[in-house]
Amino acid sequence: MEKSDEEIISLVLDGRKHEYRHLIHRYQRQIYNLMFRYSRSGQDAADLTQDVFLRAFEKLDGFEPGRAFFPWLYTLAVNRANDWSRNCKRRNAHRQELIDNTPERAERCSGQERMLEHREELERLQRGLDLLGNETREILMLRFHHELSVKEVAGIFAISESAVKMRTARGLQLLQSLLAEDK
Amino acid sequence: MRNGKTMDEKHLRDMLRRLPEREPPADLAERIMTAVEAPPKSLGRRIGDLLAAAFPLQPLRAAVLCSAVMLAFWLGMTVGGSRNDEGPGAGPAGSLLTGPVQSPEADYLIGRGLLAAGQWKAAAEFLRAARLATDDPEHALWEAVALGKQGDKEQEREIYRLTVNRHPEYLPARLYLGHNLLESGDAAAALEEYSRVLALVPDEETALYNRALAGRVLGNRDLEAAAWKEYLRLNRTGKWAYRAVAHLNALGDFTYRGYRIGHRLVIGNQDLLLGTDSEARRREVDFLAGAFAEASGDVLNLVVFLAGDGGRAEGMARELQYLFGAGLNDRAGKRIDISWFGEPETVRTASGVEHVLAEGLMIFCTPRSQQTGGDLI
Repeated sequence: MEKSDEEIISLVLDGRKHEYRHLIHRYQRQIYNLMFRYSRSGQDAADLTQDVFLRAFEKLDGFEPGRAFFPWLYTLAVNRANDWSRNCKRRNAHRQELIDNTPERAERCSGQERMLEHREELERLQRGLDLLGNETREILMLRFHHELSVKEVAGIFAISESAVKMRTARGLQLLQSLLAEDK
Repeated sequence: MRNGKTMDEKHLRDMLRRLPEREPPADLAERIMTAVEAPPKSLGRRIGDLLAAAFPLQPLRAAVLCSAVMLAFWLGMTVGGSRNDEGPGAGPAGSLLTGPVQSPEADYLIGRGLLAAGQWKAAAEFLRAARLATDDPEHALWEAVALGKQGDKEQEREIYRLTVNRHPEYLPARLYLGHNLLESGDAAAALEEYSRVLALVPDEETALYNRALAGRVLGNRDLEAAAWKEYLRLNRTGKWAYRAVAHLNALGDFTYRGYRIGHRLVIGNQDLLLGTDSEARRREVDFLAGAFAEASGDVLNLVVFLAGDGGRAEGMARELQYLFGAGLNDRAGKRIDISWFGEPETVRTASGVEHVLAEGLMIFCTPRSQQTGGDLI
């Protein structure tokens, strides 16, 4: 039977560091994708994911038992992503034009066969999400993709539950109009 | 109407729920665990990290770092030099590893892990061992990346060169050699490498884009313009396409232009739209008409400028109106308005420079929300 997050954390805190691997396997995909949405770069997303898991490991003894681990980890990740985003903007301002103009390495497609229409629809959704603000986008992702409760999302962003509801509704509305535009 | 909107939102929620996720790199968990199980950072490393966070300005940071190093050196000399555990063979992973482990796969994986952990020098050492043992171009590529990260651009370049000589078919090394050369200012050599990449993969996006940059570095405007046009021929969307149009227009070449259609900026080929190749023109019209069909605005405005030939400008405008109408497939509520001038078009680029075009085609469609005074975005 799979150990719960809390059981794993307890084992890690007892000195069995290698148990942390289970938490990484359980949540690396979510954190990596969050970081990719911020950075649009596979390499940066991987580095940032590693950083978040290392920070989480260092702060694990401050984790309150009884609390859900994923929202706690996600809070760390969102904060890290925001820091990175701010630093990135600062760095970009000082970049040389040539470097600034060099495109990222093109992302290779996964090779999976999909119906063209479905893929295009998802691509449009992705483009729409990219156009939303970071926080609005993540609120939508947490509510609908990760299916977190309004209360949990409010905790992650340190805002009220009514603010989460309002921003969810506005985010969806904005996304709808962007998708209609981008067809 | 209300039902339709609710359905849309339900569908949207469902799409968000099913949005595919990217797979993290296969070795990510191992890299994290390597770092988790590694010994704690040394005091020097921690001071370095603190300085990096505290002093983002490079000269100041460098000065403080130098002072810290001198202080550490002085302290080491004062307190005593008994610690001698970091010789030439001392490993990057502290007391756990003293150097490559003589297993190419293990060396490669450790090297990649160290690279991800920011230990460039040690990573290069492991990756070099892996390369020398296997002659695998991928090992060489990553060794070169590690060398580049630690600032050794020349050695990085040499490894790429060695790799492309031994494995001419391995394109990543050639592409990265091109990047290295371009960053080093050797645009002519970079151009050659990009051309070799494109000879094998004609739509390699980065090579296409950077070839234009190389042209710019060389000051060869014709080459640069031709490269931007080739890039745009194959890439019409995305931020790099918009940049490419801006660069091309800045050269005074308006073969491609960004047209505001509704909320979108759509890139169109003006030469084809005003040209005589009817098939190419129809394809171009269909592309733009498709964007207009889905845009929120109801009226697409086409304005043709042909210096000294008002009659031909009118004929061209009417022909385009007909073609756009056909491309719309009688979409209800959409209209094409035309106007024409027997004079040149004056275009102002983003940098404020004015260009006078003997032949020009202006296309725009105001979003519905702006027509009524409100704006969704």
